[in-house]
Amino acid sequence: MQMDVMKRLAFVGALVFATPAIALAQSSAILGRDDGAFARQLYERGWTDLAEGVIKAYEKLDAEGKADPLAVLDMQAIGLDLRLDVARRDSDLVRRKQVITEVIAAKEKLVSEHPRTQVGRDTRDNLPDAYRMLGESLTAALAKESDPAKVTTLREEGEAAFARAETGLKERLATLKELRIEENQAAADVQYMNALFNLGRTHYFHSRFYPAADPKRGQLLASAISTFEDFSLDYGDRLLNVEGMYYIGLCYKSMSQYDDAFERWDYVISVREGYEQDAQGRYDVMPEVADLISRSALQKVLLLTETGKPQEAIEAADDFWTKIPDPATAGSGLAVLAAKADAQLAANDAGSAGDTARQLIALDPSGPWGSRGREVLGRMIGGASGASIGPEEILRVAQTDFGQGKFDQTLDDVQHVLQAAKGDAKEQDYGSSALYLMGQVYAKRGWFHEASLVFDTAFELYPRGADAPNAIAAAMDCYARLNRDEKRPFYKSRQKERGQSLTAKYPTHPAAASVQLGEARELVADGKFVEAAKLFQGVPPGAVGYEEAEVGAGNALYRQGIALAADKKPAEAKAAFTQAETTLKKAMADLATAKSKSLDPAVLARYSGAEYTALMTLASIYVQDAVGRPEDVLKTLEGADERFANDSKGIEGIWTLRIRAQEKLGKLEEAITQFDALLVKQSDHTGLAGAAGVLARALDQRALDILKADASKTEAADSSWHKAVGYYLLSVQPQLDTRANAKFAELEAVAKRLLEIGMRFNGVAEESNSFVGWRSEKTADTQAWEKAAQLYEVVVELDPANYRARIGYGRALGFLARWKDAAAAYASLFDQEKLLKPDKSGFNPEVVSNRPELVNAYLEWGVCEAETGLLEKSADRQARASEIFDKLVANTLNKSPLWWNAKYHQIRTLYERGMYEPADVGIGTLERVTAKDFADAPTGLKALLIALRTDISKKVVKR
Amino acid sequence: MTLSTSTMVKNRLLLASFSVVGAIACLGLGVPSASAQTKEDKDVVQLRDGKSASLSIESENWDAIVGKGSPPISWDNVQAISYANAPEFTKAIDAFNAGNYDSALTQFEALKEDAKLRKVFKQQIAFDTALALAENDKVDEAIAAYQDVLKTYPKGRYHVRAVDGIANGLIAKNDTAGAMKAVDAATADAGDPALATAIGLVKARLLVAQNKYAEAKPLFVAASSAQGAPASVGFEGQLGQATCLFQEGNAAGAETAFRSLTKVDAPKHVLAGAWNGLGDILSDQGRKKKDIDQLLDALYCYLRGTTVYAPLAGESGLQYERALAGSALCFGYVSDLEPNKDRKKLYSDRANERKELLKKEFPTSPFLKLLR
Repeated sequence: MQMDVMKRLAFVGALVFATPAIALAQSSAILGRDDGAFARQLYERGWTDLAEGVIKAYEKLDAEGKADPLAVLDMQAIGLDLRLDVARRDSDLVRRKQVITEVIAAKEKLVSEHPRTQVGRDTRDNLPDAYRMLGESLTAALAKESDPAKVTTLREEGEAAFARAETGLKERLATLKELRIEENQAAADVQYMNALFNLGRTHYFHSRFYPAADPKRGQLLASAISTFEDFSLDYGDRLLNVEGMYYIGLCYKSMSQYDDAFERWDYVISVREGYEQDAQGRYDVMPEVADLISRSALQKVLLLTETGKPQEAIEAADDFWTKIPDPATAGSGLAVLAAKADAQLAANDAGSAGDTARQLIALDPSGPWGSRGREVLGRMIGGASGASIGPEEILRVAQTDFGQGKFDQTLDDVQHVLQAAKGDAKEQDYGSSALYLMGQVYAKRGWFHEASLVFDTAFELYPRGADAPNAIAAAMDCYARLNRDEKRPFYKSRQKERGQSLTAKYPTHPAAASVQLGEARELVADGKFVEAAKLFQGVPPGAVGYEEAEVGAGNALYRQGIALAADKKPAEAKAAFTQAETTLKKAMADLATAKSKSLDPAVLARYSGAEYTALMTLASIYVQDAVGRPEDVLKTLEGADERFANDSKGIEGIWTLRIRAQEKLGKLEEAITQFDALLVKQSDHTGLAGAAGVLARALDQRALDILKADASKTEAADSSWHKAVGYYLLSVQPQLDTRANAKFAELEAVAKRLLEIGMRFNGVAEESNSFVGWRSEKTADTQAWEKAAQLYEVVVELDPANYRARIGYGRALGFLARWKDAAAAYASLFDQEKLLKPDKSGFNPEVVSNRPELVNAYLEWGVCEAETGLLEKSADRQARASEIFDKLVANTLNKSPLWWNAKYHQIRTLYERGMYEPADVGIGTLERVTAKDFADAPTGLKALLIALRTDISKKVVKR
Repeated sequence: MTLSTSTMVKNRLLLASFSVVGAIACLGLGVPSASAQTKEDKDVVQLRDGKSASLSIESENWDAIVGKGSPPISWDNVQAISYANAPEFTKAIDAFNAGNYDSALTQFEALKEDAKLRKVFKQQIAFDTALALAENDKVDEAIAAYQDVLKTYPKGRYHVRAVDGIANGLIAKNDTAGAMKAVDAATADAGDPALATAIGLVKARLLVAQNKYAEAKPLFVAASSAQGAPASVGFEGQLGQATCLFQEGNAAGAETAFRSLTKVDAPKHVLAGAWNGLGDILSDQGRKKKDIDQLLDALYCYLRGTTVYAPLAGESGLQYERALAGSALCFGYVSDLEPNKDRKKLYSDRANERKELLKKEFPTSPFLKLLR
């Protein structure tokens, strides 16, 4: 490993010298052709951000007409590979597939436009990898897709892509076949070799597109093997032939011919024997050979484990690890180690699996293999082998689980930490950190009683632990939060006591300073702004928290102004605002001075927080009607995005005010333009999510306002809503990317709004919120619903008890006509929510009273089952639908809209089940007990009922 | 025979309210039963003080582990055991602990074929088999299996729990007299005063279930001062005594006893039981006085059992269920007393959330019947 570290350092060193050159690049004399290779090397070594930097520098040079055209081409090719990388990580399968398709098209274009360049040839050679990715993403999309029409489309798309690739390669081989054997045509021979090899690979990747039992899969695997064998005849002495053997092994594995697979991989591994051995018996192979051997060793280890030979798998992994120098640097070296850990677990050798996992963590502490090592340790926690993992490791696993949003698992891990820490020299540290983590889980769930108790217990049981002060501060926050919601002395006194403990025992803790201002803040919370301002102003200059007290005073005066304005006292309000403005401006100046005198990051963070509050309060003053200076908001907030770039909540606040000011100035579009520019500028949009939410809500409101002012301006309103949808999605994307940060309520609110906007786009009647009875008159605009369904799915996953989210999820799927998925979602809902009495005799009145939405959802479930039953010709599902409608008819108020709907679907389902006689009796009785031609039915249903009556009459012979 | 729901409910309520059965149960459930094979031939016992002891375990008795050439190790000091060279046994126990009883029982049967299988493993398999039968509501078969444990492994690791299992089975069959008789017989046959005292906790539980606190109390007192028994027997005795005090109307005495228990290094379920006991007292007083603050104090007592002292998989969940139900009830009581409409709803929602959690995690929990 030492060598590897040295190599990496040397490379980074080269980069350090290279980067300023790039940054300062003014001419092609500095950025030359070699930079293409340099950028490619950066990309291949995983420094994608740096590679991107080089590419951007070239784009700039290109725009100035100063770039070398071949180098620009190089950069384009690397840029396409970078896009593929980004696509690979995208969890949205549809988007992933789309991006890969675009990249393939761009690569094919590059190849056709520059066929004789090295870049063109290289791009052509790596095209099969892009096809493999396309095949994999299509396969993944197919696995999740239940809509038969979409399945067909996806299949056709995949077929077409692979067919195009294979045809292209075959044509190329035909062209080169004769040419390559002519004199001086060595280059053509190399091209032929690459094309032949790629044809074999493409056949193999293509085969994976089909399920195991599909004959096409077998045919393609046979073609792949035959192609690689042909390749071997012509190019048996090439390294590429060894790689071909590796692929033949994969083909045989797919065909369940394991001995043949092992034989091929052993052949690849045996290539090392052509190299000299050192004193430790390691073969001095080239890095490219080490990569190939590592891939074969990995496959061998995996297959041996899969086939129930874990001991042999472990030996195979050890053979690789001990016979190749620097095994961790080989392409699949760490993967071999991870596979070994799995084999050790399969062999019930948890102790050794733990050692291997620790080795992975040590070799790749912050990377994916380190995470994999922690996963292995996580699997060992709580199993029979729990004793072999120490508290520190379990704590790390707990923190990883928390970071990944696995909250139940985190709670379990914490209990294991507490158990394992007993008697340990660092029990206090582990115990306090574990309980601090547990408290955070509850706080994340919004269960502040549990959270406050656990934080208290962390301090109570482990007062000398590293996280004890953090736990007290967190407990104080929880009680403050509870008190804010409930205004109860019980919480207030606990908040105060924790504050006192914090300041007495940990006076230097960042939260301690704010405790001293707590009393004044409480006055603010009680609406006693003038008294609060006086108390804040009583803190003498030089005291800890003086600057924050100044900000507090300014903020209290501002709130006083707001209160006076609400009391219709504009003159007094204006005076309070003026006083607040003066106070805040002085506070900001004092904060700037104080910041220049401290290097303590905790203190600087405190000042930064106060500075933000001052800035925001000042801007809020200018936006008030009593002050009327919206243009000053924009001036005040200039540069604020950069200053508070790391604070996403802060950015949200800044944009809220900026948008309010722009709205007041009648320039909302300018805010959008500015924000869009920021989006383009920043590749990571995490920090802009809050601001996107603000814009989304502003656009959403604007659409409503447009319609309110003039109901005919639907186009303008829809345009605003379309933009709002994009911003809404942007606002929650970080929560989807990092589930630990997910706020269920916010995700649910956005999902709900998207569902509603989707209804608006698709002409669902305003009084309806259901897909029952809705029929699209044109091709449905499903984007908002698709996204709503995705968001609801996440909410349900993270907050399974949330029945409203479950209804929303089913409803979104229903609007998308994904009947089977929707039926499954509703079935889960009603599995959880016991709408029916235990004896199924009717609806449970308590549930109906507490959760009335469930009754409508029950109807929707019935419709989904009926639709699925019809599509799949499933008698069971149709019978279930009938059962649901029967229950609804029997348990809803006669002639209520719900009753009418249930009645219609009850009879319709009988008809669809071929039970024409009962359907006929049903429709006849309905008409008799209501009115002729169903005159009393809700508007939309009348025509449907009449049509159903006609349909039934055609099937029944009247006597 | 299959347990009727009502008998099961009654039975589990008894278990949870007085928690005495956990005294010995925790010796089995709280400690991972088996662990991965170690490379050496010796078993490794991880101790609660962070140290470990390597020894060849010869027998696992009701009160301690006995190893060749090593002093006995009390179960009080045991954190976990790693058995040497026991991959198949470990796998079967893992399946059992994960609740995959069918798979575990199949593996147990295969293991029993091995003539060289260690006695400690045979003992554990015999008990886990009985436990699995009971979990699957095969009461008669479970009783027979527990009796077999008593007969084949007298004074073994699972002796007290087997007596408890027999009593539970008979109670499930509405045969309280038979249960009392079986426990008395086991006490008489114990042949060890400390073991007899531990079995006495099972009897005490049966008496408490019949509201015979005066008769139960001496048994709890005896357990709390038992000589030669694991410390957890003493803690259970103290918990039972405090519970009796509260049931007899001596809330102040009970509160003192519960509070003193919360301050000792007792097993998690005992601590949860003590906090639940305090929750019961404060909640009772809070309701009588219509005092929201006191109800919140009670709530915070119950919450200990749902958070910090929540059980791990394989540990007894009864105190956890009781704590969840207690917290739901407290939220509900506060909601009843709260005049403000919004806050009333807030507390009612909180009560429902805890109720839903209980329902989700323990769909057949007897405590659900206590909740509105």
